[in-house]
Amino acid sequence: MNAESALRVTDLDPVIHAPKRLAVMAVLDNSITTDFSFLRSYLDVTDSDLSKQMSALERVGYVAITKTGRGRGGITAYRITDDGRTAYRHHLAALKALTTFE
Amino acid sequence: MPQWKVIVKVAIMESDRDPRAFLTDAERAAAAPYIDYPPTPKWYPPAVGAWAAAMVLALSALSDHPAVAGPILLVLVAGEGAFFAWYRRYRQTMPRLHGAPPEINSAFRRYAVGVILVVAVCVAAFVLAGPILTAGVGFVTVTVGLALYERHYAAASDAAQRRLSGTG
Repeated sequence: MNAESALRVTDLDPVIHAPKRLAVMAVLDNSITTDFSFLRSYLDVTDSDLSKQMSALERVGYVAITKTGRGRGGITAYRITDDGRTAYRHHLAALKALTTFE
Repeated sequence: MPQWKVIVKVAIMESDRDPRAFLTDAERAAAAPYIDYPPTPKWYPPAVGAWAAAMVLALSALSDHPAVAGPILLVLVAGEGAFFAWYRRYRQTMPRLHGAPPEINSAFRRYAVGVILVVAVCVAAFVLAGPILTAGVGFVTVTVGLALYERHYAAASDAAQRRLSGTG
């Protein structure tokens, strides 16, 4: 790894870099809103695992949550925030730069 | 930089995973809102065709019979809103117009051309033959146009899935 790629590594966002959270950010970046059930099905994970991943993204302000209804019929939907979109695209650019300088 | 960040970044640097693998995963996930969707119901094209025909009749009757046509128009617009709400819930995601895989963009372009053609045919029918025939033309062109679009979209989605899974 040369100096240039080492610099790019420091541009990577540790919150987004986890594969499941990277996939979530990619889905949300290309959707207006997306339901919890869609993400769970796409990632093929359990409710608790996805909840944990989404909490990590929500904690840093990368996603916003909307809840409608209660109980079994209730829907939890997510959208990417402006900060989240900026961070995701920055992270993608850093990954692309890493592949360039390898 | 905080110590936890340094630890994570060192772990990333020492990861055996090729950055290209992360980019491939991100590209596949970015396509998901467009290509992972439940089957469109069979009733969708004729229902939208019937809705378009009703819109033509209600709009053409608005000036002569506003007391009847006005409420019908409101019902049709409310019905459209209810349909979008249902479809959003059915699909579980609402993809953005920008950012679709190239295969899906091709379907979007065909859709736009199709809408222009349908509107042009309906305007011509209205000028030449009046509202009743236009309603019939609208029903047929919208139903057939949407059915063709749905078929093309499904094929585009399959092509994108094959490309992204490395089998296309």
